[in-house]
Amino acid sequence: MGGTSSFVPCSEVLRETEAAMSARNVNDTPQDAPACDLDLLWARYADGHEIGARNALAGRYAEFARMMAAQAYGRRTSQDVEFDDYLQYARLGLIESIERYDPSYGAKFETYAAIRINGAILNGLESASELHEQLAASRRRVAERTAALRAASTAGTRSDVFDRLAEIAIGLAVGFMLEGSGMFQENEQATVPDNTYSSVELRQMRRRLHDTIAQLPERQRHVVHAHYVQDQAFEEIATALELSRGRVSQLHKEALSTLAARLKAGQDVDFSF
Amino acid sequence: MSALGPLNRLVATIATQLAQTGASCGAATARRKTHVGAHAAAPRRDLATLIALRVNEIDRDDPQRGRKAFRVFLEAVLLSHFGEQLINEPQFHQLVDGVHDALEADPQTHAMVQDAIAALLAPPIQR
Repeated sequence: MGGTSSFVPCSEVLRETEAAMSARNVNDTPQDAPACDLDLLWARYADGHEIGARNALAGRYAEFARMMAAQAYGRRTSQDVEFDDYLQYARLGLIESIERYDPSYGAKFETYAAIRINGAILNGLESASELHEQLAASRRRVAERTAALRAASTAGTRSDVFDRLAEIAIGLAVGFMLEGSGMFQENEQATVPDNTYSSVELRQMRRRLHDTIAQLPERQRHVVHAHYVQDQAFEEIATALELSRGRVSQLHKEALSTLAARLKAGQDVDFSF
Repeated sequence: MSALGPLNRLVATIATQLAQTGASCGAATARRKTHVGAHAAAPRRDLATLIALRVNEIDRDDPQRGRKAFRVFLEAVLLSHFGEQLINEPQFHQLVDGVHDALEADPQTHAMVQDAIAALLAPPIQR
């Protein structure tokens, strides 16, 4: 959707617009309003790009945006996105249209806005579907890791369920540390600022993790980098390295073992009472 | 990878604590205070205190009792491995959530988790 409401957060724009829209009767259409009224609003907005005038215009065309959203929703091919999301995308498209419409070209506003609103809906759907795909891919990678760690724990001599679960849990935790919070990045200044509380211990752990990755044997480092940074499945890594999937899984397990050992706290904890 | 040390004692501790939460309310509260007070004075036992507190927060009739007990186990295992100082890290608790979800999402590890829960909820035996 590009430059929608470039300097105002979308949520704020929508809040203002929804307030303007709700102030009007839902059955109102621009045609219900006197033409001179609309012309005055457009003239007011063209004059100083006043936010109040823009919101009033958005209120006038609210039903038009809803109709566009309903049309797009009627043509949907997937049930992943709800009508309210279509409506939100349409409203953002409407705001963008108002901000960019130039009456001097002689085109009717609805003609101009229909294309932009449709585009906004399509862009919104694309982002939503990308997000769904990313989440699904992330779940697949975690499932792959869990299965690999589980298989490795079975292959060992450990039989106690708590031992095995602890081993798998530690491996999974290292994996989450690798893929989350920019822990793989050496220069923490380059990451997006994290406003949550973060202790010195966590920063030191990230540093140790990074240093240890650099010391891993080349193939293990390659597997870790490909899986956690490039989001590649074991199968893809295996093809690229001309190895079997099982060997990649083994390299992954070895790398996590090394990393977990390096991140281990210095002293054993006494659980006894 | 694990080298967890006294894992069995951890499991026994959680199981014992769980069993004690089934006692009468007054007795359990008194015992709870005794445990927390005793361990608050011992800096090396922070994790044991945490386990006692967490387990005592689980209601006897809570339908999620087993799942919550397993979560205590996971938290304790990860804290013992990565360091107790992470207790106060918000990101650490997200990490535990992620690990717990991943273990439950895989059918075979989910079965292992169910076995572990059954063992935690079983009447404690002298280990």
